[in-house]
Amino acid sequence: MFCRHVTGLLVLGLIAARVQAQDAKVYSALTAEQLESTLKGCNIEFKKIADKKANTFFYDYKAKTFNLRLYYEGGQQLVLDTLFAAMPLEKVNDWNLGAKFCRAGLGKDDKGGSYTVVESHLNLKGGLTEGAIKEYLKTFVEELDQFQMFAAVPAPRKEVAREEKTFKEVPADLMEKVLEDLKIKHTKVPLANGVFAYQYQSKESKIVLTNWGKDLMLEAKFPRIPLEKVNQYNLDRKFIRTVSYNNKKGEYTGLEANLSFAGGISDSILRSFIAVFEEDAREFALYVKKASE
Amino acid sequence: MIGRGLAMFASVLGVALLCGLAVGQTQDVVYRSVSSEKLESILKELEITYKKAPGKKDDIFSYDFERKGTKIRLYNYGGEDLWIESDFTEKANLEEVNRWNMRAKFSRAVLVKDGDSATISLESQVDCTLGITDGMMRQFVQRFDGEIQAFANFLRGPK
Repeated sequence: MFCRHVTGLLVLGLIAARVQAQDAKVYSALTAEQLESTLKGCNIEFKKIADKKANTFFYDYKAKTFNLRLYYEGGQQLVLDTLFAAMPLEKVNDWNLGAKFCRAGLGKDDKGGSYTVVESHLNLKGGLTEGAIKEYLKTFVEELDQFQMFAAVPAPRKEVAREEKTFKEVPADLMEKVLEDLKIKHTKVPLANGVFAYQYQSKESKIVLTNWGKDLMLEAKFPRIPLEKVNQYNLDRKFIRTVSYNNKKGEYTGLEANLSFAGGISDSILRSFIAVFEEDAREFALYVKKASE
Repeated sequence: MIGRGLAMFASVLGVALLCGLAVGQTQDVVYRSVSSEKLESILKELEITYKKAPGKKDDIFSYDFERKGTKIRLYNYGGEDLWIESDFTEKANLEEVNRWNMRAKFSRAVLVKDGDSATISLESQVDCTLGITDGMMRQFVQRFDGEIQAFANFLRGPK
């Protein structure tokens, strides 16, 4: 009995030591992948959006009732922010006088609507531990709880509206600029009638983007799975379509997403749509692997 | 007369170019969340009379309306995504549903089983968090009319 207790304590101690060791891991230059691994380690389900600037990404996720955006800025800094309804400048100032790790500010969106942004910055230069990043994420949410009580503001606002240039047709050079901004190395394939396809590798999946000029299609091919599984995936998921093919191109299951430009589209929308499909392909690859077992 | 028209066109083009807009570009507001008020204003613009109902959660709403005799439901999931669907009770199997999905661009068909019965949901979704304009919202709703028509013809077609 005594030995069992000692063994149990030893195991707990080893686990605690392992967790501590992981948290003590020092990132001398935090990469986006390392950040994503940390977020996943904290059970944070995020949506990744690529910015126009190189090596800059946004991670949108929910923590409690707050819609947060975490900015990874070229490995130099992290910024967390969330939006609230506008409040008087005096009250914003009162918060800033007392706040520890975050600050509030008033902003105006492109439609002239006002909002309050609460944000926190973390300098990445010089290196930091994974534990420090986790603490930064946790502390921000704790401060938001306090901010909400302090300000007694209603439910948090979501993303601001921004004015952007929009297009109803996307020529090849604009599409290629978007792929360059996303650092996607691609092979351009001319098809009939001035249409181009762009083939690229995303982790384990080969993706083809076909630019029809007025709309685009993203597709990735996977081994064929039963129609019931194909239908089930469509039932369970949004924004994509899975299709079973048996044609001259072979037998396979396709994962597809289409985007029409007819309503007007900006390059930020285009970037986000292409970036998100990579994650969709990764998730479907896991589903196909499981379905094939 | 023609000269005046050409002069007017040239001046409009000149203004657009001065504003840094290439031909074919416009400036639009890109939202990353669609409020109920925004969606309802789009539906009003499209002259759609709808019946609004709350969904299972606080920030989910559905809008029921008819277009050319077909019932349609549009969902707004907390401003984050829009879902439009129409249900078909015609008998179809997974192969037929898959055949539609092979040819469709802006919709998908899904077989929804409920015990022994099954319906086909013709549907489309848009992720607003990636960015959406008023034009995209209008297009999303209007285009679905065409998808319904094409799907109805597809179901009626040779098997």
